[in-house]
Amino acid sequence: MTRLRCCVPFRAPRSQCSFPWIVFGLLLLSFVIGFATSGSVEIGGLGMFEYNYEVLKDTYNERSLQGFSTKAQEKMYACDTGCPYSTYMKFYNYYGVFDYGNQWILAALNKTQTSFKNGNADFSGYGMAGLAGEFSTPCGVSHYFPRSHFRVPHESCSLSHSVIPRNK
Amino acid sequence: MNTWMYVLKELEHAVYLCETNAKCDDEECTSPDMVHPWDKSVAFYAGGQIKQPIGDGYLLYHLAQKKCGEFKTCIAEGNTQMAMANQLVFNFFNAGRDKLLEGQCGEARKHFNSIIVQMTVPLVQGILLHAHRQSYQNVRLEKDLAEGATYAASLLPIVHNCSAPDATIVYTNMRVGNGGTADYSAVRAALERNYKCMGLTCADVGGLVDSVTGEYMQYAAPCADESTAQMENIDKVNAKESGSTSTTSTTGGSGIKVGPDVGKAVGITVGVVVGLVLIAFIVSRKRDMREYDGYADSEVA
Repeated sequence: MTRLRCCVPFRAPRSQCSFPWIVFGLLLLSFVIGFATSGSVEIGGLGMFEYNYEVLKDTYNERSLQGFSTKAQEKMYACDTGCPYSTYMKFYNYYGVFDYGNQWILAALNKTQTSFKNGNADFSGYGMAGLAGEFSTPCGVSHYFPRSHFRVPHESCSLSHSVIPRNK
Repeated sequence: MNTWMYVLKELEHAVYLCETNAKCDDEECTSPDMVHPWDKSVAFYAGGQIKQPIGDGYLLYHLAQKKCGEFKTCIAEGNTQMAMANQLVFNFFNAGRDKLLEGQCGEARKHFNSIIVQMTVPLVQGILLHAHRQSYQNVRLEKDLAEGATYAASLLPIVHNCSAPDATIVYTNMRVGNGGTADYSAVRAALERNYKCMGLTCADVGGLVDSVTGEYMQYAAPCADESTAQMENIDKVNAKESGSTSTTSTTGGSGIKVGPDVGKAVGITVGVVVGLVLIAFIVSRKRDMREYDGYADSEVA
């Protein structure tokens, strides 16, 4: 069993340390960088958390950041819970497609041109440097940052604490 | 672009659940309340790599941190600097969460709208930064052009919602393949014409700073509006409270007062300097008087 001691690296905005997702992020980070699959983590201000995690069994690749965009129509336009969402509609109205983010990135990867209603991008003249710039900006980062960083600990860890501190 | 939207999606979902008194129907929900998607939103905004001071990170929190250093919109938070946009976003995250739990859905929606506004700040700053580089700094590397175009792509629908012609100006100057020919003045003017519509203020956006001198770059000082006037007024009050005429403290565009200790420190410093000058003056006068007395004595002799 491994015992880790972490402090939440989130100082300033008052009591954000209590946000459970940041706690989960820290937990996951420990798995990602190779800590033991079971152990306990002490998180500053929140106490000790024990976890059990089987890498081969509990890791799912069912999500991707690409899915943020490819599922946008389902999640933000045609859902039964408040759809269409107001900010998303501004983007849909402008670009004219539901998965504008996905199409933007794919066009960059393939060095082709988008076919939006507005705001088209022609990546055919770009070299690797341009693509690097593309992927280092929010759009790119959004796509390539694995969402599983957030989700895996949330669903797959067995936390021994009976009450996980919620956002309050 | 994608994460940015997903953060807002989760927030709006939470507000919707509150307004309809519905239970969380997301398959990921661990408890049937509307705070769950709100929490998820915070996670997607912040990520798990936050470090202070401004350090590594990947998501929107880090983006705002990075941009605040370039636009002088960081504020002191203990021993570190925090982007004013991040400070406000987290204030609204907390306040919105509380309102959801209290069932005050209308108030929660107001906080949601305020978060949207602050999340546009780094996007505007990114566009201005790259437009300025192209216009005045002769920076036309492909990587920089691509970054500028991506910032624009992330904001254009919001500008378009305010003014289609101004969105066209921004797009034309910043689009992928523009060859580095952005007209900073045109881009800036087009954006500033829509600050009010987007809920932004000049103080929110700040001005582009020369990293070497710490001064605003050519043509890149903050614009002036009610927010900057408010900044000046609050600075004057702070200076008066600290017994100084200095104006070094600053405030956010949303009226958040920051840095009162700086005003006090400046006041004390000015007081000490004035005191020293007075002492030097008195000593000098006494020496002059002694010399005069000696001279007068010799003349008499």
